[in-house]
Amino acid sequence: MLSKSLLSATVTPLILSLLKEGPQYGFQLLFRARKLYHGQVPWSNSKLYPILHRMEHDNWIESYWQPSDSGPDRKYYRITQAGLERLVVTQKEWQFVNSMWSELWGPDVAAG
Amino acid sequence: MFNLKAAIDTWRHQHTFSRAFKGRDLDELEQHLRDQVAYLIATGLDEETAFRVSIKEMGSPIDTESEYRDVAWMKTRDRRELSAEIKHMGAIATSFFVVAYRNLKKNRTSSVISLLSLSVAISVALVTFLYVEHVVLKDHFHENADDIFLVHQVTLEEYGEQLWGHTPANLGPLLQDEIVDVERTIRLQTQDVSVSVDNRKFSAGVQFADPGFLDMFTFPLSSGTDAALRENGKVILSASESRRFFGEEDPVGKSLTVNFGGGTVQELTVSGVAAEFPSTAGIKFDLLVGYSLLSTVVPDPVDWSTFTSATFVQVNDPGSASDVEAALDTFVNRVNAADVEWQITRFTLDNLKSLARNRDRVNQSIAPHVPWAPVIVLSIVSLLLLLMSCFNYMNISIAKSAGRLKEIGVRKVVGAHRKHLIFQFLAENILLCATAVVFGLIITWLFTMPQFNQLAGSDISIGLLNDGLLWQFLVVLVLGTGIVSGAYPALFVSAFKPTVIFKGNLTLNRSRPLTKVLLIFQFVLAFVTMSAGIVFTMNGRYHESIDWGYTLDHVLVFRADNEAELTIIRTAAEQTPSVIDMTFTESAIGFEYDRVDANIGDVDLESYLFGVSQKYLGMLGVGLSSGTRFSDEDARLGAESILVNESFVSQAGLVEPIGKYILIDSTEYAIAGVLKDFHSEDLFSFIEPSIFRLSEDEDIKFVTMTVQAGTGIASASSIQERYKQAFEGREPIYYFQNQAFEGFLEESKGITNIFSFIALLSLLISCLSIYALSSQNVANRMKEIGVRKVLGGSPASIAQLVNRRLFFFMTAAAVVAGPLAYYGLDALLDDMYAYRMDLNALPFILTYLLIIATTALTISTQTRGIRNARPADIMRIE
Repeated sequence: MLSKSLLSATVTPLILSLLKEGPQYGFQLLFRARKLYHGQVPWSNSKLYPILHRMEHDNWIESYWQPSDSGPDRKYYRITQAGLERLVVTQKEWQFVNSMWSELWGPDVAAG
Repeated sequence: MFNLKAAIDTWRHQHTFSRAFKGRDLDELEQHLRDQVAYLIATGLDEETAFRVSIKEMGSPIDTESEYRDVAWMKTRDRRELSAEIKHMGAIATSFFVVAYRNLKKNRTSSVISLLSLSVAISVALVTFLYVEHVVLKDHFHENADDIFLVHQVTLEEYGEQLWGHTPANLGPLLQDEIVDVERTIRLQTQDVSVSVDNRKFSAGVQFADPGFLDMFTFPLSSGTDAALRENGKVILSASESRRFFGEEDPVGKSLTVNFGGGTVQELTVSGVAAEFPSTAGIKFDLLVGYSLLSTVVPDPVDWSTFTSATFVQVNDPGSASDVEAALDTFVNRVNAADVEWQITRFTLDNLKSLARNRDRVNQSIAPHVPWAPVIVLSIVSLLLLLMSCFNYMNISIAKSAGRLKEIGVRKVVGAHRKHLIFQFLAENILLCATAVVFGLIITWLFTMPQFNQLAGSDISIGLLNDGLLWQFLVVLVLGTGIVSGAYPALFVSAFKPTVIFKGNLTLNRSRPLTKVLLIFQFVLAFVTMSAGIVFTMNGRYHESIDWGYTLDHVLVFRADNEAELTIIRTAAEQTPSVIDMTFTESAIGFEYDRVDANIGDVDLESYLFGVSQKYLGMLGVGLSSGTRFSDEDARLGAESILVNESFVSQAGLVEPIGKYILIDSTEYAIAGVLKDFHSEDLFSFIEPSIFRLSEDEDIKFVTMTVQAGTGIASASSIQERYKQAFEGREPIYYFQNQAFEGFLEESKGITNIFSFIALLSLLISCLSIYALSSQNVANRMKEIGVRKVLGGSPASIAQLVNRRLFFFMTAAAVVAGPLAYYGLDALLDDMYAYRMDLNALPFILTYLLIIATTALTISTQTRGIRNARPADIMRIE
């Protein structure tokens, strides 16, 4: 189980990583995230979209609409060049943190 | 039967009117909901359960809305969208204002009264603020104020560290040479001198200063140059001294004679005149001369063991003051080597701006004194008045909320949260307070400030344009009073439940403890301030009628500075028939006397020394306590007998004083008699130990004469005429003996007036709040009043019945406030005066009666409303 603050620190890199695999809509992202976190999701359903909108405003991701089978259109998100660059930076940050723990606790403990 | 489509439509409709969702946000959210439901149905749930679970996971509409609101502004890119958003907010604000205005209008009487009492209290707070700013923030106007520091010496005494304002005379120039961060140093030496201009004599203070004085301090010259600081024989005058010596003409180039004492008399030419000092100037001068002139006046060498009144340091940057302070340590040894009797531990620096505030902690400083007693008393009183008005407002708005229940209910039902209501009530209140502050400013400008200036003899103006601190204070006032007076009513009112309101079950419980406490507190404050007014008025009366210990009436004192003047005054007095008797002395009680160190056995006692004549004390009616007065033999032989007063005997610890010897300036005197104590100074300080000896003929300076009752002015002008004839129109210097205490009585009267003024305001505020409360009481109990009227109750009895509670609270408040006011005022009087009236219960009983009478009178005005109220109209409301 992750603490709340650590969970929220992972939100942006997680979304960027998921979108790197290809364009997805909100429910898909939530569904994938829930699996990755073993059921523990770092945001309520209503929180996800404001997070996505903020990232869109920061130009890390962009969106487009496509018709759906039922109800209104569906909004897809995809990663931008800036988002990819951001992801590289974030990856380095987390790798640094990881290597720091490895050095301190030994690689076995750090890798779990 | 559950209909998924309808359920989703309803869910979406709930969010439609929220401004948090922009563009197609709701489409996206709906699609999410649909995906979630479809997923859950696929796992085997039925439609209804799937929908409920999905909604639950989505979170409450309020939470969702607030999440979206956080990013809504970011999405408002479009100009049209932005202007729509601003319009919407404007509409909300307008609606708030309209509701606030309508509410204030609806309860017109109580609104006007709350506003008025708040305005009056705010006005008092403003005056207090301006006064405190005026007396505490001294010397802030100098351009270099942040860079200027006064050097203090620190010694270690048995009772702790002591700060001294004077510094070795040669420290200043060395500092400038040896410490890098020091830009400039100025030494100041003050001295009292007598100045003669065209045969007229004045006493004044002279300030010796190093050449950069006018560069360091911002004292612009209105005419002439600062040559006096560099050249001996020249002087710069302050604007007021220039007027005193030379009238309205420009004195530059004219000369005056300055007697520095010790036989040094110099003729100085005026080189410049300073512009009028700001009233907040603490460091200032009468006559300003160069520091180099000091060596021609005082023979002492300038070294480590002679002290100058002050050394000011101007640093390059205020931050480097601590470095300079540290660098000053290197000079400590040089000071300590110069005099074994004077050992210091270090030097400290105090910024020019804080000198006045810290004055009381420093010995022998030239910094101005802050009159802390009035500062503290006024601050407390105005705070109390403000609190009173705030509490009054709280009580009224809680009472008023009964009439706003439906509004509150409707607002809650259409979706207002509690925080919206709290915000609405607070905003209403802050609006009211802002209006009160505007009115308060107008009242201050038109009435309170001029009145205060007149009472306190001050010259303070409201500098709205250039007083940044005043603006900050105004903002604090608006928010402070708005929140203090509005917070509780807002919390109280917003907690009502709509269902209870609409069912009509809500009764505004009258026994709310907080309301009671507030009411009592309000009366306690009124009681304390009003009794303070009464006590100070009574104390003022006491001072006016106090026995000073000698005769003040029908005594005229002329000053003679030389033999020729003495002869003329004497002859003139002898030729004036209304003069009954006269005598010649060196000192004049209340005007001039010396200070000496008297030695009795092993006790050294600093005392006043009066040079008198055999007749003088008898003429002034000073009583004899034991022993004898000066005998004829004493007078003839100039024998070495002296008289002392009772304070001298008690402070010297003498049991049998008569015949004891006292050593003054290496001459031995025997005590011949003890005089009863009398006040030679004001009543702020205790009577000093005093010694009386016969004056030598060559020291005679005063002619004291008793005149027939009612002829004081005539006798004075008769002698004045003869004097002017003899000395080419020059005016003599003379006093009436009762002028000795004029200054004190005036000051005492000023204090009394200020307290009476405050008492009056507090009475006004109490009256207003009682009026507002009782009219609200009447309004809230209209139905009861209608029934009582139908059953034959008289308006007066009904008014009393409705407001009976007020009298009860008032009495409770008096019980609490009486002892509080008694001990508080007793301590305050003790602190302010050495001699004051003894407190008894009278002022407090008077206060209580006054409050009750005012309340009864105020409530009686309600009877008209009750008389005019028609039961038929009242009852028809239901």
